[in-house]
Amino acid sequence: MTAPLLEVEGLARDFAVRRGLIRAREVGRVRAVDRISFTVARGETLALVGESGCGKSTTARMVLRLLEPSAGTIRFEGNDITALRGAALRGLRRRMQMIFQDPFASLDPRQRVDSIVEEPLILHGIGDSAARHARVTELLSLVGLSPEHATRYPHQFSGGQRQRIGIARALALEPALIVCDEPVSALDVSVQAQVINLLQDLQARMRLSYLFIAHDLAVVRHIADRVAVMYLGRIVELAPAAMLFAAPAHPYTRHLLASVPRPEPRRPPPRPPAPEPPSPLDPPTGCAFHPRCPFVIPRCTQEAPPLTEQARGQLAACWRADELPASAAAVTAQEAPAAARRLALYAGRRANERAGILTR
Amino acid sequence: MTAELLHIEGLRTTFPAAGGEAAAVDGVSLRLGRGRTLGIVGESGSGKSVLSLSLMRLLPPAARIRAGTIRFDGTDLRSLPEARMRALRGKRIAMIFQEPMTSLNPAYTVGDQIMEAIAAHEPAPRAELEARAIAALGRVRIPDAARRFHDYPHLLSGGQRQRVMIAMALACAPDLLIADEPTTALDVTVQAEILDLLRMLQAETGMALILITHDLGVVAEMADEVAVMYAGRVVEQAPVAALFGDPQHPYTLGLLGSLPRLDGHTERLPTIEGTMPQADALPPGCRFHPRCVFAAPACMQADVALRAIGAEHQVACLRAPVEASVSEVAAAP
Repeated sequence: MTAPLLEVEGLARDFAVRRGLIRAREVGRVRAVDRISFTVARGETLALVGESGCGKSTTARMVLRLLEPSAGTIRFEGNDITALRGAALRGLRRRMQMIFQDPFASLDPRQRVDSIVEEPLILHGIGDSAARHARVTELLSLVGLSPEHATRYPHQFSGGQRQRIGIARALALEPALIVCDEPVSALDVSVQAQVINLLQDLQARMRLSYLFIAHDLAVVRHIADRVAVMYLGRIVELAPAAMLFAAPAHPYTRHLLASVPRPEPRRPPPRPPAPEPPSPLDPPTGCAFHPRCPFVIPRCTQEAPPLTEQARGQLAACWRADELPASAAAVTAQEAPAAARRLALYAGRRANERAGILTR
Repeated sequence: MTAELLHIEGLRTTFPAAGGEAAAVDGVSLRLGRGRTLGIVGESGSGKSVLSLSLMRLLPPAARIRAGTIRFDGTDLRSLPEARMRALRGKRIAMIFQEPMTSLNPAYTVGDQIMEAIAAHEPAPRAELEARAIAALGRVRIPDAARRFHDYPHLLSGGQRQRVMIAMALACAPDLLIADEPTTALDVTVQAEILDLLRMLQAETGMALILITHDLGVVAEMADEVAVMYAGRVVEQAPVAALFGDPQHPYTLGLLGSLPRLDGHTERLPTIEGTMPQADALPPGCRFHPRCVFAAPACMQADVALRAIGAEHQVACLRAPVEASVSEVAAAP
């Protein structure tokens, strides 16, 4: 067994809360990420999911060393990178890259596409002009853009094409890990599917690892090998994707799954009104989810449950994980026969089209 | 059959384009009964938002409604004088948008803004406006409404802001609520709560709902009827069970195929290649044919109109049902 590409241990981050306009003084501290641990293997996709404010983006920024952790260690390719500085940190930047949510905001509108993709190569002193030019052409074709796109500007592209440009730039330095922060959530359904397919193709081809941050659970189910569910700065469940969706162990995971609208015409069972999520400034005692949890017992209000291994091997932080009834939120496939037949026909045609076979 | 509230016929809305005009909505006909929910599904550029703005007569100055009728409760909205339209807007037809923060004024309290919305149509003494505004906040299940009344929008969470927008929209008890991507910016748990709330309020008030969204899951949960739009046209229209159980148009199939499934049963998403054409650069024939895996020569020749293919089920496709017009047989599920 080789060491994982990325090992995060006990990672935490506090933010100061300040009040006052002129001389702001610190009135408290918020623990945005609270001693979390996880690994990402080579070629693996680990998804971080949770609601806004759960700490998933803060975690990603610490992993990329864009934000200093308050505690914990980050090991990458076997080396402790938690305190890396200067040239060593720049060297690390070659190995981990990021893809952002908003392809409109993350590309410089005054730069041509070829110079956007070439820039990381120049910054890291890679190749001469001719070699870089060849590499840019190669990268653009890798993400499904054509050579004539190279001389255009970002505003001349659709959202999906812009996301492809961002992916080409991220791939320029041949990274081992790409942190994807909501990479498809701003895209239309069909474009989103194209980008998901591209990310999967690239992963298979280059054995990339993805740390994939998303709030769309169907996308996560499709793309992730394992999923870590975060709630108020902590990981509350970590499991292989298939297991997490078929048999969610933590009540919060169940709550998330039950909230997803499914493309099947049915009226969802009435969901009990949930109280507002608690403020990270004043987190609840004990288990942070207890005020919203339908299975709460007195112990949950007193002691925070540790993340422990459950019967099936998944990790969950819940005192009652082994005694909860089977989840009604578990996902089973169901499709009407006419729909299934036509969708299969459609998928077949698309696959043939990709393979260059015309069936018209 | 419920009484008809809205009947749109042959609506065509254009924008200036190089060498003339381009139609963002091109010959759309829709009906909506009282208390019913119509889901309008489409991607960017499909014309779904221009359609709703045409209905409200809130189009940008350059846009023109060139053809068609919009009958709302028997009144033709197209020919209504602006003063009467203004009286109707916000009172009998209300609208909510995706981003509640940009629709709320940060300089005024939540209560002030709801009172203003009521007073615009139903002026009353301050004490009465205040009571009605607090009741409106209570109706959208905002806890501690009397205290929230005095809060500024930035103090509220995203979900609560959307509740405030809904409270404001429903303060004058409209017959029709148009919701344009009302939950797109929200977390999934908050989205579920807002959808539940809309359903509850609909049951309480009997209002009709037009739900504009790109999210097929939201449509499946909420809508009675669904219209799928592509490049300014309705390409398929059906009761919700038929649209998901018996989808006909290749674009609808492509949208469904593009959806990652929670049960994870697909290896590779059979998506739709290419992008939606711009309104000023439409292909001849069926507007979807350049992207369609089932396209035949006839699809490139002439415009394709909606036709009935089942009970209340219409599709604009020459080849539907596709299994009858292609040679290969799909593997039975």
